[in-house]
Amino acid sequence: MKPYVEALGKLVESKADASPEAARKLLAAAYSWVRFSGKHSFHRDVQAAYGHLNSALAGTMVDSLRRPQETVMVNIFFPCEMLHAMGIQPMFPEGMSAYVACTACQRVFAEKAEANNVPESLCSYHKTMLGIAESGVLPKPLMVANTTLACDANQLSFRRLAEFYDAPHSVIDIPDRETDEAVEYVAKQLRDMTAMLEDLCRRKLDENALKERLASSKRSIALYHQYLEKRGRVSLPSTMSGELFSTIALHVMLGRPESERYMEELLQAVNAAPEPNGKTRIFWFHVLPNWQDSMNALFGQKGSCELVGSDLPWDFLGDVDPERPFESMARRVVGSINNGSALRRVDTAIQAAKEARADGVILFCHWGCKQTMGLSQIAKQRMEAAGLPTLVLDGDGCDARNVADGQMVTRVNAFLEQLEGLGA
Amino acid sequence: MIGYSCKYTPIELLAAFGGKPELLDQEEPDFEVAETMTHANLCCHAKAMIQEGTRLKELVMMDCCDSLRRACDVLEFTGGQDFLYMADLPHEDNGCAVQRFKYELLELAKACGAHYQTEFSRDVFLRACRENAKTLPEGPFLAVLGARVSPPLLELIQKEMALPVVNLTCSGNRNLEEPPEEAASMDFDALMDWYAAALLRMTPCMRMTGVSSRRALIEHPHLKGIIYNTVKFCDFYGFDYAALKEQTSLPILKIESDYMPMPSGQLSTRLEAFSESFALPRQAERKPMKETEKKTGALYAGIDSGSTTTNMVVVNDRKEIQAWAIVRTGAKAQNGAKAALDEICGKLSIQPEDLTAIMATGYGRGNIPFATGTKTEITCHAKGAHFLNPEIRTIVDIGGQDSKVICLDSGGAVTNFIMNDKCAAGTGRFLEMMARTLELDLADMSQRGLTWKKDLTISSMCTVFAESEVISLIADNHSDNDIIHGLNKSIAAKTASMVSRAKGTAPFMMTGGVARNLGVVRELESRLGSGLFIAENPDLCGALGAALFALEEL
Repeated sequence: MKPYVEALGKLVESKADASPEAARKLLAAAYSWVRFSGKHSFHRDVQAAYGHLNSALAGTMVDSLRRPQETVMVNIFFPCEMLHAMGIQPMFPEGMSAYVACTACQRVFAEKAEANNVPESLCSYHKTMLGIAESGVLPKPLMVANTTLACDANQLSFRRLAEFYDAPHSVIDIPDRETDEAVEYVAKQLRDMTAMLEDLCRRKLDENALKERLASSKRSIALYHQYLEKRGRVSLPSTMSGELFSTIALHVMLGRPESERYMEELLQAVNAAPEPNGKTRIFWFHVLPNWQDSMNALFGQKGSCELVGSDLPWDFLGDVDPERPFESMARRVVGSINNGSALRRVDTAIQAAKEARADGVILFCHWGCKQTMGLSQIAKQRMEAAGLPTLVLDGDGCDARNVADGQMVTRVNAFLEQLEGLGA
Repeated sequence: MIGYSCKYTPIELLAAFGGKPELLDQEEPDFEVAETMTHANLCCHAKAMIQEGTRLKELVMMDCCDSLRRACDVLEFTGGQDFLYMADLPHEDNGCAVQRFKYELLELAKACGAHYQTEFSRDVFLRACRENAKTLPEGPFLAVLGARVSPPLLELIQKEMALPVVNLTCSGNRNLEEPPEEAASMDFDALMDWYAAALLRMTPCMRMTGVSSRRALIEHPHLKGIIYNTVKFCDFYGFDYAALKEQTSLPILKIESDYMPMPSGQLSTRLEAFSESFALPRQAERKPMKETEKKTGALYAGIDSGSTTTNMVVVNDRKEIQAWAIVRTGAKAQNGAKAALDEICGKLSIQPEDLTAIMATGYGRGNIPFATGTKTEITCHAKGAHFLNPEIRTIVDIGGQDSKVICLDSGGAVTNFIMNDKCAAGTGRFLEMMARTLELDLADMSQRGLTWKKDLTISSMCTVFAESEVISLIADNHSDNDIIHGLNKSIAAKTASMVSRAKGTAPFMMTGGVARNLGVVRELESRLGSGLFIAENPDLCGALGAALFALEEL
């Protein structure tokens, strides 16, 4: 991490408790800079796509800090096209927590949450988000909304956030079986939530604007399919942050022009990319610890391996019908690979890793994620039976306190040596 | 037998098809099997379920939480059951959710009919519904709330408490309403409409969306206190506990269990201290006090049997300290206690029989044969601290194997306390391990952390990981002083967080051996924003309190 970022992080940490407004202003200023610098990226390759998407994402962070009444707190799997159509920003724990982790000030917020009796074993993204809120750094949003997909932490954190802020709260209950009735059940809840939002904003959702957002989602997914078709045949300097950007572009940012532009730029980059360069090709399963210098070094441009994909963007790459916007959004969450049985997700990841021509898979057990930890050994067996050597790697997507950095590096290096030994 | 885990499981329906449902809540001696099939950090009940599930032929599970969802996936993947069924459970209880749940019940009914080759028995179903209605005691009672509790743990709690203890945990509060009078003549579809709604109308668990009706659990007029259980790696009830603390003034004790046999020492200390804190005598038998007349010139001893040292204090009837001793506990608590007694008798030139009463405290208090009574170290620390400085409102005690925060009122009574769990982080043992890694003694550690240059942070909370972090810092040529400062910060952060959770307020006092470590003390003062009162012998506070109890209770 760069020394000036560490210095900023220490400053934010020192202000977080006694002067949360000052900490908020510092973070908003820093993320305004990220928004500006990303927008004016000088890169021409895949880094340009990352920079532009990061700029848009930083914009949502700035708005949630400076204009909270135009922000809805959502979980990453929440379909957000109706928010985009109404000009409302989504803000989600994984994004905000990863941002503060990359600003070297996450620890103070996690400790704040734990001091307020949030269990130590809770997902660190959610715990950090609660700490940012309860320290007073993150102001009250317009509304809190979550789906029950795909983790229990959603039910706990978002309810607590809504109570803490005394903010309106909507929960979208997601059945675990993909049936037409389940889609209708979810679509009705999304309509109800939108009506609630209309009351709060005192403005109506323009149905045509919503359909256009869904049309944009459809185009983004189609572009990503084209990217995936080519990704296996080339070498591309993908990064940990980059894989997270793809996930975000296909979730909370889906339906926005920035997402569509990101997919176009990703496709351009993959079209211009050279053939594989002999580096070991790694497919990543679950979230990526992009705050961690050692992991960025291993999987960055100068590392000995190449990150060829991750499973989270594959969550739902099915069809979208812009003429039935609520049903399409409902279908996306009900049909998510993260909904239902473990094998649904594992088998999709195997397909994705094969298409990306991966030599091996790293299954990342993010601290507190019971769904991923629970399936880790099933996935390892299943993937290895499919010819994909797999490393189960314990770590944390944003909290350094749960990480043994040296051990992680040793494990990854040993795995890469193992793959080389296998002739990868 | 058909095993189930979640209270929303339609066990009356299973019975109606001939199944014999049994709640799976057993402890396991270890999780060796489960941890090869899944991850060590999965909820401990889910790991116990996986192990039990591999031994069962019939299981019905609900999609009620991430851990049990994955437990079912693991069992399905490994196979071995004749009947393994996962039913979806809505998070809502509104009309649409009831219809969805009814659909699930109808599907399960079809699967049961096919598996048992039987028809639905309405009589068995209605009888089961009536039998499963739950009633509460008519007189005062205590409740175990929170996450599910294993039978041996519930039994231990019931043994330690004087009042009846009712299991109202997530799996214990299955309060299904009685079926309507016309149930006998309803068609099956209408009956399942009622049943789905009735199941969703039970007191909700924390996984459901609407949880406001959980308040009824703490508003019963005869409820006198709450033992709040959390299960390791289950997050739901930590949230509930935080909210509940704000909603009730009833005494609450929080414990954490892990579906393995509990080491009884620390848990008994908590349960006893809880019982003491609201003046309920324990059910467990106590040794009678020595029948000695209180007389002028008599001596009263307190002995604190800790994991590292055994400390003893003797006071006279004017509460003046006459002698004290600190000896190593060694492998057996009773040997350390005997050594302390011998040292005291030597100092005062007396025989053990000259001590009028001896109150034992500390984790080894139950194993001291010459003690005339026992009290937990929580109560004894409070007593000793209030005697030494009546202004103190919060005690931070960091001993060898555990750390505690105890809050006092103006009269010295315990108003709240928390202890660390099965983890060495933030204890004296943590410092001992790190001193060994740095090849320093503890006295050196105390001083050298005060003069640091680079502000290092030890980020790992786990003692073992922190040790490997220290080794990496040594390899990177960081100075010992900087590393020790980082370790001191780590302990201070962990302790300050405990103070905050206990809602401790100044003035603060620090006791226990770690209070001798100036580096930790300075860091903790900085974190708390307040000075720490430290007695001349900070290790003796518990023993002093015990000696005062020996004097007063005779």
